[in-house]
Amino acid sequence: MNHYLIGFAINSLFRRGAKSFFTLFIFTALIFLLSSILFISNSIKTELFITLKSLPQITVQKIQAGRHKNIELKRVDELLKLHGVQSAVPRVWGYYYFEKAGVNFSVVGIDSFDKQYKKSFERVVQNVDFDKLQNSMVVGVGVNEALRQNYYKEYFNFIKPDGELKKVKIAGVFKSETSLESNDIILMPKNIAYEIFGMSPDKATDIVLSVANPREIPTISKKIKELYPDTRVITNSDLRVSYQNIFDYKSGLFLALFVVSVFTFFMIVYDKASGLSSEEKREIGILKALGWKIDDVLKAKFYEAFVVSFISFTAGIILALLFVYTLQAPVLKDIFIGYSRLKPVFELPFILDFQTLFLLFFLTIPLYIAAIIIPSWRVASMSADEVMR
Amino acid sequence: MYKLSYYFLATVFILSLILVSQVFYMYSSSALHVEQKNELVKLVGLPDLALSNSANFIRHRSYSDTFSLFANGPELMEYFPSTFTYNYTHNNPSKLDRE
Repeated sequence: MNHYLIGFAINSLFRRGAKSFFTLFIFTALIFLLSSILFISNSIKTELFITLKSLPQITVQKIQAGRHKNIELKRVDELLKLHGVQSAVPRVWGYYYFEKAGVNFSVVGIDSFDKQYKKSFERVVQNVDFDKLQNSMVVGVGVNEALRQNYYKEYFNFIKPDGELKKVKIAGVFKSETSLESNDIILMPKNIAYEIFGMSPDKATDIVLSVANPREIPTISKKIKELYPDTRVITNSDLRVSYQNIFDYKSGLFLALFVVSVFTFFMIVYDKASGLSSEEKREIGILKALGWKIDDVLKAKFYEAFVVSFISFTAGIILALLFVYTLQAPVLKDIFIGYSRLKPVFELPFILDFQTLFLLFFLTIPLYIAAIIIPSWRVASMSADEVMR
Repeated sequence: MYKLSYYFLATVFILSLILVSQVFYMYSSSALHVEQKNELVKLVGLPDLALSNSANFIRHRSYSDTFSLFANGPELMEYFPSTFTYNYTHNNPSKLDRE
């Protein structure tokens, strides 16, 4: 490595001050934008897939006239008779529209607050007294906030379908670490949920099965389909696929941004590659006349391109990391959150995605260097006096 | 002239140092809370993140049909004229509400 050549390259960058600064700026901005978008989507994607393994293995829903209907409870016994089914649990869940705040809560009923839940409750609910939970509900941070703004601090009056009020005490709030999952959730004993939804007690929203051997899931879901043709059987691998679909869809939005910025970058590169300015040509000519070899000229040009691209790449990544994980991506995050009134406050988890970094690195730096070197080589391989003339 | 090359090396070194220390700091200070989240999901059993919430088919749209995903995805702006006219919020009751 020749220090003098590097020095020369940097010096010539300074000589063309405004132009090199502009390139540096554009390059940094591009890397910053692309990497912050990819970082955000990657973090949210990780959030989604983290909890996938805890979801029910098989969910059975009843479909009538193309719509989801409540399923009969007596089907639970039939499903339990299938070989390989370990447990079948009917669930009650749905949405409750809170008109004053204009938000939907997700109300989930569980089998009263039994001892079996005690341990997990203590882990996900803020300072909770488990024994006092009877006939009360546990709410997410967002729900708590929405209720508080409407002066429901200790209890909430649900309006039942027949117009009567059902007063339920707020016993606890989910820990804010889980707010991305629990923000809109109200967890309450099943019997209260039945009352609020006005559902008949011999029905359930859906039935959740657990299977001892995960390999049997496809066979069992086929058997359920044959037993009850009016059901929709959702396996956890279906959920994985649908998560993937959601992200493919969301990423489409970002692909548009990505394409625009990459296209801008290509424009700049093309502009560079399509020809050197006469000044740059003369510079190469003079260098050759002074006795520089083609090799030396190309080396100097390579150092020049490398300095610009490497510094802006590193600076772009540093800024993006700061923007996304320290400042929590102020504007860009909103694109993912949507227009909901019950926005969860959450922190993007830090996941360093080497794939993204390598993708950006190899998409930009070699391209930029090539766009500098190739036209220089074309000029440098001509004879000096032809270039200077 | 070749002093500049040392400046360059110093800049590269400082930038890489910032990057590495930033990554290390973020690794050490961030927590995913994987177990808590799994515990909650096991308890509740509903998929999807609470990222959007104004329509019942959005929050748990893995369970809804494919088309509502495209028609009512949270990425879209509100497009029903009615959502602009009637806004039943506590903060700004619409005129129709008061009459």
